[in-house]
Amino acid sequence: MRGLLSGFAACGVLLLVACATSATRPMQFVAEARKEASTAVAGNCAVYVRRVEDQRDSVEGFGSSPNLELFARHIPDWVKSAVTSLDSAKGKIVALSDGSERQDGLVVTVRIHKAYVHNMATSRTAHVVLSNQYESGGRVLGTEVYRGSDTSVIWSNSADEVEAAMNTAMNLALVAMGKDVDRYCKRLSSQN
Amino acid sequence: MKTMHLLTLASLLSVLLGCASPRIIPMTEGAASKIKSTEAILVLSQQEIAAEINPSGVAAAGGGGLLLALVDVAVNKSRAGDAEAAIAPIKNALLDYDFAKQLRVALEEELRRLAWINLQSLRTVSSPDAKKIDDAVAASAANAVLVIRMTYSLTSDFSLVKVTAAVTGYPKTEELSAIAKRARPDANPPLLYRNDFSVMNGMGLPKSDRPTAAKAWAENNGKAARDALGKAAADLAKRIAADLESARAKAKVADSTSTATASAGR
Repeated sequence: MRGLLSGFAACGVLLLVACATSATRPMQFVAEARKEASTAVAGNCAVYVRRVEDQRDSVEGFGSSPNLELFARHIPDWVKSAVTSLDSAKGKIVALSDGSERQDGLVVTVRIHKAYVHNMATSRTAHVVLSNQYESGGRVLGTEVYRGSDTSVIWSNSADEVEAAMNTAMNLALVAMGKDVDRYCKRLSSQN
Repeated sequence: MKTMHLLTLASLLSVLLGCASPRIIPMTEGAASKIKSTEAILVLSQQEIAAEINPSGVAAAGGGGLLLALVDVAVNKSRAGDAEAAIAPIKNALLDYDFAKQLRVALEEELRRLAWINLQSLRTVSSPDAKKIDDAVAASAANAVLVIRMTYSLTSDFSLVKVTAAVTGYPKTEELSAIAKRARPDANPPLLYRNDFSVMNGMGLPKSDRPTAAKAWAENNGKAARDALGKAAADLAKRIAADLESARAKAKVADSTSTATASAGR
């Protein structure tokens, strides 16, 4: 009887894994409360996101979960909303809608390399890989890569569950990004 | 009570296996010479190399039960998380490496060598959605469609790179469909060909543990991983082409034997 029950449990899990529900709307980024406070930055540091470049191999692929093309297609908006949610130590990061050049402050070009989920048996790992090019006064200060990933159990395999996992992965990537933003701001203020 | 268990298991098995087509179907005899054009569809949903895990078998060892099945789920989650953390340096080293392109180039080169399949085009699909792939097969204007579903990973101990392919050939003309149905009436939809392939490549001596192996795969901008994946892609494409060719050769021999028998009978 116990063997039969575990068989049914395994079949149930398999069926859930096989039948992912479709995404009916783009992903919405939800920021988690940061565990570590940003380091103090001396002076004012305006941070501008010049543009978000999508460098993924495919704009429709979202890894091993089918039916999530809607999430995949709107990844640039989701990334923009995530990056601009990041507070630098001296105020919010501002996205430039016109892609204009700014001579003041820190200008960031965000590149999206990967955003996908990978299912393995009863687990799912959500991945986000971004890179930021930091510039100031027309000079490139550096490029940094950020990887966030979150492994969790597949309970319902719903689009909402995938969205939550992607948001966790993004929040992890943002922790490292936040530290770099503060580091570059500190470098700028020490030069001024 | 025992009979009921058996009946339940039997019905469950029949549900799971009822619609299954045979796993291996050699290129259908007589079909090869009728193929005037082929479209190949490469399905690769992975965006990065995956890390395999050894699945937990607590429920099986403990005689089953929902609780032990849940233990398996938790153990598998923990192993998957550890494997992801360990493989991150390799993924970072391969960030600019386009494995889909490697596969595309290798497959196109090998399939073009098979003049009889008349390869028209090869395209890549990144969605694993079965319906999308079925639609792509249905929309194809070629005589036959070859769908190649691929995966690539590191074995659980990180000693080997593993690339797999599940290749399925679909007929698109009435003539080819009739040949496929005659040869394998149990296959639904009718299939011209199906086989699975797997290639594994190491980097020489095995490493003592996973972090050491990950470091070795990742160093020099992932050179060892790039080399192993490139070689695996080329080997796999060669094996797929060789299998298709050998199936055609066998069909040719069978055709000529039946012709010779018919001539001798006259």
